[in-house]
Amino acid sequence: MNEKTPTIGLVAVFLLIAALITRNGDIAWMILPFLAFLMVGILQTPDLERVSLHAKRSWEQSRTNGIISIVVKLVVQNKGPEAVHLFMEEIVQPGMKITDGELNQWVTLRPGETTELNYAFTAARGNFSWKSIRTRVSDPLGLIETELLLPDNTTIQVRPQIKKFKGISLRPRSTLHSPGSIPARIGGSGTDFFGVREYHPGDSLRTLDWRLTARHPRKFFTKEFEQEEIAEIGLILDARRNADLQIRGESLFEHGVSAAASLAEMFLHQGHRVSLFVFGENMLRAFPGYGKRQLHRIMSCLSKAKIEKENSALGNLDFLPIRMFPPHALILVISSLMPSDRYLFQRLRAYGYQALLVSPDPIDFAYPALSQDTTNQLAIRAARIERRLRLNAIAQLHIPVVDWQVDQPLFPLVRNALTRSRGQREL
Amino acid sequence: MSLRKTLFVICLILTVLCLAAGYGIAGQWMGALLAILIGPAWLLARKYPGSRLPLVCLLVTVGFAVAGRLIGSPPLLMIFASAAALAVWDLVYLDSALGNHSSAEQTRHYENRHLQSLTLALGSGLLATLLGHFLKIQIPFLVWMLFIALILFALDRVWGYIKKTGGA
Repeated sequence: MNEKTPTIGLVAVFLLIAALITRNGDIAWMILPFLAFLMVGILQTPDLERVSLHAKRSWEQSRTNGIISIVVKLVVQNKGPEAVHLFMEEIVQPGMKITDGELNQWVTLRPGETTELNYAFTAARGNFSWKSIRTRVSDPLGLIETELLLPDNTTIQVRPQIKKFKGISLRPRSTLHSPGSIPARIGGSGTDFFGVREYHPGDSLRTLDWRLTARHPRKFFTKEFEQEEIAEIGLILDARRNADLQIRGESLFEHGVSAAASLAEMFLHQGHRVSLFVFGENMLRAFPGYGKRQLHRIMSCLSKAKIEKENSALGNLDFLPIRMFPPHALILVISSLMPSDRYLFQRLRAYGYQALLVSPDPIDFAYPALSQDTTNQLAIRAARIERRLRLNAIAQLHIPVVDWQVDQPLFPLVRNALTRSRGQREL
Repeated sequence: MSLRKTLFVICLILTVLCLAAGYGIAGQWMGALLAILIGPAWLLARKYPGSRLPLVCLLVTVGFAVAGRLIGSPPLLMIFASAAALAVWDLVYLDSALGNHSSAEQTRHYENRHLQSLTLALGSGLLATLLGHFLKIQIPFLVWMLFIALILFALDRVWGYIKKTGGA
């Protein structure tokens, strides 16, 4: 029922009281059109047991100039024996930006007839899911409305934008015993020469080092090649409220999500085993895996990742379940960094992980929005010093740090950091 | 101009004319002038249908009709004015609900069914009113009380029915 029925009732009661007080018959007769209006509405109200509606939501996705546009079509069919007066309404979810079409409409559907509601929306990223299509069945005058939620499970996933990175030639401390592209510093069946050892029965004759064998009578030597394996990589994305910054409708967190997506895509494309953990109010994780299916899992996690309300329990990264990642994995932490986060990196080192910090710079991100007065300049300077100290403290743990100003390309920074880390290790 | 907009204008003119004529016949020129001012108020209500303005306009118009009858205006004009005000009020909401989306065939069908039902409701209501007005029947006080009790009972049943059918 909407506000029309009480209004008609109110006017009818008002007229009745006026007629009784003034004892005027003509005023009493004025009630009749209002009562007739109410009666016509009630008599035409459909019997809900005879109403049978079938609904379906379908969608198509297209990408134009990097912006994802999704066209959604809601179809409702009347499968009942009588005509139905219907109000269809789409439930708009947070993050959806409607660009075209209609979100509601009043229709009359004869038996067997179908109606459509089309609209388009854009979204930077997100997981939009509906369990029903909201409709209201009413009489033609719209006096008595009954809400019907027609079941329809639809999920639309808008994945974060990926920047295609070229491959980085990693040299992790330990590799996973599975054929890949990283020299594993152990002899085996590779392409690069690794060394020579004495012949063992079963070695292929093609790998015999004939020159060395000729120099040592009654002895055989086999050439060894460096085995090439894959790396175990873990990504940690910081989704805490305090680690995010919203400036002029742009979010620092979204840059982190995009970076995580791009890095995951690059590592999986190289054949490495990748896992993801999103640390926030809603912990999201993708356990280690390979290939396109793993990329789908990671993208699904990243599309669902969002900054929730502030939670004091998530103040620091102490509760991060780092043992989720396999031992000796290379862990990439994407976080704008908070004062108490240093302990996470200490723990990572203590557990034997190799780590890399990618830290989107919040000060540089906020800088254009700040007024350029003396006080602000001093505050920015102090904040920069504080951040530099924080990053240095982590660098002292022999963890490479990428201080990422989000308007700069990330790939060269990560590549340099990983190359430098190799150098550090070799020292 | 679509049919609902044409009907809105016709009903609004009818409301204002009936009220103004009724007050004019009763010699209340100030009342007639105020009745004319109800027209722009309704136009404003049409512009802001989400506000309480349509309800206020309906109550004011019906109140004017009641007051007009009490000061001796012709009863038929006042009854017509209140019935037309009901139509105007309903058309304001219809216009707001349909907006500019009435291009689809099913939406046009809904609009036609709504207008047919409105015509049926007002036609039958006015016919019953006219019959009741011209057929002078002396109804005893007891029957009046029973009639009122019946209306209240009917309204209660209607309310119960709405609750039962799950109208929210």
